[in-house]
Amino acid sequence: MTIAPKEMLDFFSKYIHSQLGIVYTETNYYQLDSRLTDIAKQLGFATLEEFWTEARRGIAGAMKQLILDIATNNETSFFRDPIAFKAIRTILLQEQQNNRIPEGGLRIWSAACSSGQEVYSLAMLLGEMPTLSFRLTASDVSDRVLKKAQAGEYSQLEIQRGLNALEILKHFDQKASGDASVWSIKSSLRKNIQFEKRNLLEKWTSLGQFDLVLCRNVLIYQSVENKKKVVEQILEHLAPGGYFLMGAGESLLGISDRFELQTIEGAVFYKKKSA
Amino acid sequence: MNILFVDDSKAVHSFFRDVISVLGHSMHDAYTGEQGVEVVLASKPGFFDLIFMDWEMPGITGYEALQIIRASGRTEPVFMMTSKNSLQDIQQCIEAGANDYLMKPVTKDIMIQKIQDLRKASQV
Repeated sequence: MTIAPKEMLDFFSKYIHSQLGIVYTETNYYQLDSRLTDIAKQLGFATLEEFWTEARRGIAGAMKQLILDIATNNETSFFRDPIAFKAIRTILLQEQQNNRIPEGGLRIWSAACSSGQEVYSLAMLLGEMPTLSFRLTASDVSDRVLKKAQAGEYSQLEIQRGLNALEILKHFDQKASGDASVWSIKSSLRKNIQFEKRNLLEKWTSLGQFDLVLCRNVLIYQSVENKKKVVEQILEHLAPGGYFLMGAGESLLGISDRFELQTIEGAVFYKKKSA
Repeated sequence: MNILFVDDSKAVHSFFRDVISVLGHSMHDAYTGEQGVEVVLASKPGFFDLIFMDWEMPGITGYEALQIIRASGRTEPVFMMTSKNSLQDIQQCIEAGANDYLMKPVTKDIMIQKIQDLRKASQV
């Protein structure tokens, strides 16, 4: 496969770097090339060269959004893995029916909340269950993403990942910001969430007990030793019978035997065994 | 699924054709609002599982086409695509009977997600 001249790809890679600090190295140029070609097509340019010529005159509006989206498309979306959210709803209803909601409400922790889509999805889900009281905690190690999560402000592309029009109408306010608009989570959704900076690999202090902990697609990048360390700590902070949810492709096999595996609505949960 | 794509830009059709065919669906094309309405009304109800409708087209706009389709009693899911991106515009389209609203620029991953979500919902 031939790829576009280096000069063109350098131009876009420098632009992405200047806007987001994300570096596209030459080894990833084939990927950049294919994504830019897609965008050029969508914007109605016949070739990448035409697109490049136009982009050099100035990048704004839809063009800017699409280019920056190349670099930030990191698989984060609202209601990511919808099956898991359906299962959480089922679990919460069960707990409620069996009068197992602790005083002060159910305690849920989004343990690597990234830019906040997971915890806000939970808040949206819980908002549909008005008789259920709850407290949400969201933490991340990165100041940058935590700040974004706390602000609850998303681009048009971000809110469209996982949310339909009705959900957007219900949960967001729109604010103008330069040539684009920012979609801001309604404060009613934000008020029940406690945001904290936490490194999963360090000792957690002043963190209470939880009935459900979500730590999805995070430990996958850790060594077995680190996984064990994090899972042990999660256990300490899980109430008896509490649930632990990992990413769809993750497992605790060989990591811990202090959980009982439960498949709910097709999603795999780990339930803390009674001591 | 049979998906009708109504947009006056050939580039947009070609951009999404790959996605739709990769997912194993058939894409049917209309390039004006008039054509879109004609194709829908001539089809057997339910033949189209989904209609993507561009709002801004010369002649009958996608919004008007949606109104005609709904006034004819047709209930096929219509996803409006547009660069009119305000809450009021979304509200207006939903009230006119659109099932979802895609704000342009629409990326392939969002398009894929919307199609798959609809498919899952119709299987439940």
